[in-house]
Amino acid sequence: MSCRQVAALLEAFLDGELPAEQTLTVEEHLVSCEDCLERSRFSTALKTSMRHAVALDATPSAGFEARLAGALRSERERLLQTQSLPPPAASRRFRWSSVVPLTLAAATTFSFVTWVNNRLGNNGLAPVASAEAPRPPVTAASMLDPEQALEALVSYHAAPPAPQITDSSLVPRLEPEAGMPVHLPEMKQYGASWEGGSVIPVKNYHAVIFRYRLSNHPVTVYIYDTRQVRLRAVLEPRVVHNQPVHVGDRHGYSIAALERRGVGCAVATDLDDDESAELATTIY
Amino acid sequence: MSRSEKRAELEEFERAILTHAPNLLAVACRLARSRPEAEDLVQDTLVKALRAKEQYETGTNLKAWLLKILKNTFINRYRRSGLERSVMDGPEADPLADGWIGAATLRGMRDPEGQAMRPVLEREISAALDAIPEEFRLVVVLADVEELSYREIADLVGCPIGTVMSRLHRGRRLLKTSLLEQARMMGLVPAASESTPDTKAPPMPAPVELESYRQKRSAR
Repeated sequence: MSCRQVAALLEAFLDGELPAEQTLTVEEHLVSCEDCLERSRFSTALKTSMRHAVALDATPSAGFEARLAGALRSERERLLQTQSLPPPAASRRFRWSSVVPLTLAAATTFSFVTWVNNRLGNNGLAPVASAEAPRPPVTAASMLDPEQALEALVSYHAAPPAPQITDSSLVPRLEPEAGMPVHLPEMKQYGASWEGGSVIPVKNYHAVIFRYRLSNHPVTVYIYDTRQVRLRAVLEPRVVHNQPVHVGDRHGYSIAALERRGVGCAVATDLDDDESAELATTIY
Repeated sequence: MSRSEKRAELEEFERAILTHAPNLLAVACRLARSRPEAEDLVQDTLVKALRAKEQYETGTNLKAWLLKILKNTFINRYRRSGLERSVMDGPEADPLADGWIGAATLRGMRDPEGQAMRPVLEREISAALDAIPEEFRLVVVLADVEELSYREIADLVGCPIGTVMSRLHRGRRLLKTSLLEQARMMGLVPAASESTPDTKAPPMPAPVELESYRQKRSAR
C-alpha cells in the first residue's frame, strides 16, 4: 500500500473508526514508514494543540457557573410548580442482571482456559489450571453491546479467572494476542499491588484484564479495543485532571473508563465513583 | 411520585448536565460571535435540557445529547437558515490541491520536545479554526476536542456518516494549510514546495502476513 493510500485511511485510523483489517494494514505500514509515522504524529499533535487552544478560549467568565446553577434552579422550581411530571422511564440498570453475568463469567472462564492451553507452546507461559473444555459458542449478540460488555467486566471483577501471568516481565507477551498496546499500569502510588493478568476472549477478539489489590479492595483494570466496545456510550462523562473519564455503577461496583486512540482502559472497583475515576486517570 | 422525589430527580439531572458546561461552552465559543453570546447559548441549552429531561434516553451519551440541543438552539436563534454553508461543501472545489504536505515540513511544525504543535503555532490555532467554514469547524471540534464518534456527530449534525468524514477531512486540511502558511511566514519550515515522499521512498515491501506480524510484535 502506498503512502498516499495510507494517508487516505490515516484520519479514520487515528479517530479509532477504521475497521479492524484496515487498522492492521495501517499499523504495519507505520512500523516501516517514517514519513507516514510523522504524518500520524503531526495529526495527534494538532489534535492536542487544538484542545489546548479551544480550552483556553473557553475559560468561563466570573460567576458563569453560578449563573447557570441559578437558571437551572429557577427552571426546576417552575417545572415543579406547573407540571406534574410523567413517571421516569424504567431503569435499564438491571436489565441483564440475572442472566448475563453468570453465563458470561462461566463461558469466558472455560474459553480462557482453552485459550491458555492452546498457546502454551507459543509463548512459554507458565501452565495454569487446565480443563479440557470445548470453547463454548459465544453468541453474536453477546459482547458488542456496551451495556453487556460492562456487565461482563463487572462479572470478571466479581469472579476473576485464574491469572494467566503473575510475572510482570511477561506482560509484553499479551500484546500480540490482544492486538493493541498493553502496558502494565503502575498503581504503586496508591499502595496497590499487582496480582496478575489475563487475556480474555471478547467475541472474536481479545481484551486484557489486570488484577490489583488496593489495601482490602480488589481492583480490575480492563484494556479493550474501542472499535469493538465503547463503554463510554453507557457511562456518564466527567472531567478529572483535565481528562475525560466516563463513570458509572453496576451492581454496586463502580466503573470508570478512559478511551483514547482506539484503546480503552476501564477500572472496576468497590470504591466510590470519584475514587475509581481518579484511578482511571492515573493508570491510563 | 411525591414533590420531594421529583425535586431530587431534577436536582440529580441538573448536576449531571452541569458537569458538561465546560464542553458546551467550548463548542459555543466556536459557534457564537462573542463570549456573552456563547455563555447565553450554554445557559439556554441547559435550561432546555432540563425541560426536555424525559426525552433523554438513559444510557446514551449525555454530552452528545446536550451538544445537539446546543446546535439546534444556535440555529434557531441566530441562523434560521441553518449553518453557514461554504462553497466548498459539495463537489471538491479544488481537485488539484490535495493538501499533501511532506513529512519533513510537518516535523518542522511540531514541538520536537512534546506531543503538541510548536507553541508559536498553537497560538495561531484559534484564529485558524474560526476562519474555516462553520460546518467544517463544528465537526472538527466535535471529533477532535469533544471526541464524539462519527455516528454521534452524524446524528448531532443531521447528515450521513460519509458527509461527516468528508467535512472532517476538509476542515482538518484547511486548518493544516492555514497553519502551514503561518509556519512559512515565521520561517519554521522552508517556503519552497517539496517533492512528495512517494517519489523518494523505497518501494513498499510485500504485505506482511498476519502471523509474521504477530511474531514481530511479540519479539519487541
